[in-house]
Amino acid sequence: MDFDFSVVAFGLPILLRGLVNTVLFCVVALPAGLALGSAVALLRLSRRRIARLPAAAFVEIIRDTPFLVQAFLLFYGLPPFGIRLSAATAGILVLSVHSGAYFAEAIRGAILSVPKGQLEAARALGMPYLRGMRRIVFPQMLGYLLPALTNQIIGAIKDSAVLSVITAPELSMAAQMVLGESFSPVETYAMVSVLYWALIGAVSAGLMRLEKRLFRAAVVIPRTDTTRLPLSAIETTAS
Amino acid sequence: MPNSITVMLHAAPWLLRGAVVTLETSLLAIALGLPVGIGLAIAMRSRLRVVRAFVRVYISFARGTPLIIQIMLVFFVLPSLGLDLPRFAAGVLALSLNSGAYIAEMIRGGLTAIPKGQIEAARALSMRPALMWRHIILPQVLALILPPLTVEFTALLKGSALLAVIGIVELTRTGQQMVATTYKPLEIWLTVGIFYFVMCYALAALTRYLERTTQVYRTV
Amino acid sequence: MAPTVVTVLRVTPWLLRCALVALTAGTAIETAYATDLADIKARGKAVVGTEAAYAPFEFIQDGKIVGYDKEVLDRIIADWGVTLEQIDVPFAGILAGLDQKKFDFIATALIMNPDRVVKYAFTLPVARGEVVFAQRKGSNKMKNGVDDLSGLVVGSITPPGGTAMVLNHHNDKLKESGKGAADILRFPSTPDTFLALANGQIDCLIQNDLVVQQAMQKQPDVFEIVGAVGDPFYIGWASRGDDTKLRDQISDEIRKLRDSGDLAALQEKWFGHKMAIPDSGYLPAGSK
Repeated sequence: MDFDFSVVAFGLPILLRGLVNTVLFCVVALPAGLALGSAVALLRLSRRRIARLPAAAFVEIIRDTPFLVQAFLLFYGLPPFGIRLSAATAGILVLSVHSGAYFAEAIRGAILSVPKGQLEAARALGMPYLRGMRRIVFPQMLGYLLPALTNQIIGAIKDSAVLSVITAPELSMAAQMVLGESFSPVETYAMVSVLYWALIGAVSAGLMRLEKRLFRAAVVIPRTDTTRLPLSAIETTAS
Repeated sequence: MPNSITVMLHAAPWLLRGAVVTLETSLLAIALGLPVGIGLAIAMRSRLRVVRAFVRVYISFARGTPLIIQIMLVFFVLPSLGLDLPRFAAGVLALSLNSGAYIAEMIRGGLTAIPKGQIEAARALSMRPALMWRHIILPQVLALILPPLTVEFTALLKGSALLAVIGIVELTRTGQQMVATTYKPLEIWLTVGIFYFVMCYALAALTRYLERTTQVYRTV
Repeated sequence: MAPTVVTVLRVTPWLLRCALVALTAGTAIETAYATDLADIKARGKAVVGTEAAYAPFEFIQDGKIVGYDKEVLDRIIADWGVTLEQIDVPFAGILAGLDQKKFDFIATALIMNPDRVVKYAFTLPVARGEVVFAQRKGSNKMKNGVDDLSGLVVGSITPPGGTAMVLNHHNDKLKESGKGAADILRFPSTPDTFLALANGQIDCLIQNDLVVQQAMQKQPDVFEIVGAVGDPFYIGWASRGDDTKLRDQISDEIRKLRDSGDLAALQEKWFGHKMAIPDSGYLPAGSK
């Protein structure tokens, strides 16, 4: 089996442009997903059922349906109602919503692992709920959150590859273009896999370094009661 | 509105057929993924650095590239390397190779829960590693990872949707065919979503039940 | 808990055996790939690739592949006296699948454009058509005709689709005079393009006129043809570039159908008119 390097010369620039788009999609979608996820997580922890149930339903529905089907629904299903989204917009939207649901579970799990007493003490001292969350719980939960978050971010990057099916111009779509002109699946897919692998490797390494720096001085307080994290909090978009 | 319901009801039997194929592929994938995962987990502890490095690279690749690309690789690239499989087998293989990597990580985590004393006792009795794995380690680990395995199965059910891109007529591809003939994407994709939701929600309920009944201390 | 674990462990080897059997059975179904008719007859079965999303040439109805190409293929298969195994593959994979020897040949409507004929061996044509642009009826998006795509979102299938290649060449030429398209969306399959056009997600699409006519029949008053691009072309099937013997054998069968009038009858049935199929001169220079 010989490797045709001319395909690399021809295809790599096209693929790199697609890679840039993939990164752009994620850079926009992931913070949006985080924002959505935080809101949903807090809603799920609310005492009022009217807040909890819709949030729980949202998370369950998103997590129990494939990303591809959600993308189809958003891209092809909305136009009859007059909502016409471009492939890129639809792609970013579905990526945000999808990862938002998974972020919500990771955040909820992280919040739950902070001992309840902390928040209770804050409230006993008169601190409003949200400020207590922000100043007391949030800093402590970050340590639990970052590993789960890393997993989700990587999951989102992998999900973005699926967006090629709704014509979004990211890396996998670029691969189709290169394939269409070169008829060389071996070289094309070899390049594409290396590019994704490198991207995810870089992101994962970067996040791990961030984790180490943020929690360099963290003291691990041994607990008498090891929290049984719900498994659902650890589940990722392992695709 | 009533027209929409008619469309959904008419599509349901075809989609059901697709859902059966989805279940088939996912079951086969996890059945094959388990030995792959077990093999990788055992290889991870090999004395040979080459073997350990291979496992690390394999798991890094399987977890660090999109599943849709892996499916394309198995279907389009493997034949040039000598392994030409028909669509269904290629799809199942791609899913199982992917699953195997995640299962290997689960097993690795589960191994830490096996009390060291058991291994020491086995060694003291001169038990061959193979026997040790078969009779002591694996039974306990497999029981431990049952909940994450159902989570992995749910992921496979959703991942199988991607098999549509290589033409396997499972639930999503059937949905595409229905949209092409009816021009009613909203109704069809909602119905497809409902099918997936029912399957995955049932599985999620099973996961919660298993978590409750196995009641294991989780450090991972 | 323990009984469950024991059951799982006992079941696993059985599951593995089932899986192995399923996979090997699957592999056994598609054995040696045929390079000519003798191989196909020896095997007793022809393995043919099709993208069944291209009405009226080939499409899915009630779970089965039907259409013009299917009927022509059925007649050829009957004449050969073998059974047919037809595999429905998305277009992005069909030419690559042919290279990978996943099928003996492909019976799917392929435009004989210059990029392809040098790589694959095309059969005698089964149809003749034009590449046209289509828009939503009354939308008047293409007011300047097919040679001005400025400001338009054009839809096509992904390369290596024939019409996609035509669009690429056409658009490249137009870009020189500043009339290139604002955006080109590439869909995995043809029905997606029609859906997107009906939905208003694209302003126009480029496609084989026979396919557009069919879509216009199925969904009246939704689409209209704007105009043709380039010269009319021939549509045929293909085998691997090296399998010219098989290609010739298929072409012989198509010629028989043409000469007997069967082909024209099918064309009337599926397209509403007959087409003249020549004996030669339908392939551009340099083809296999």
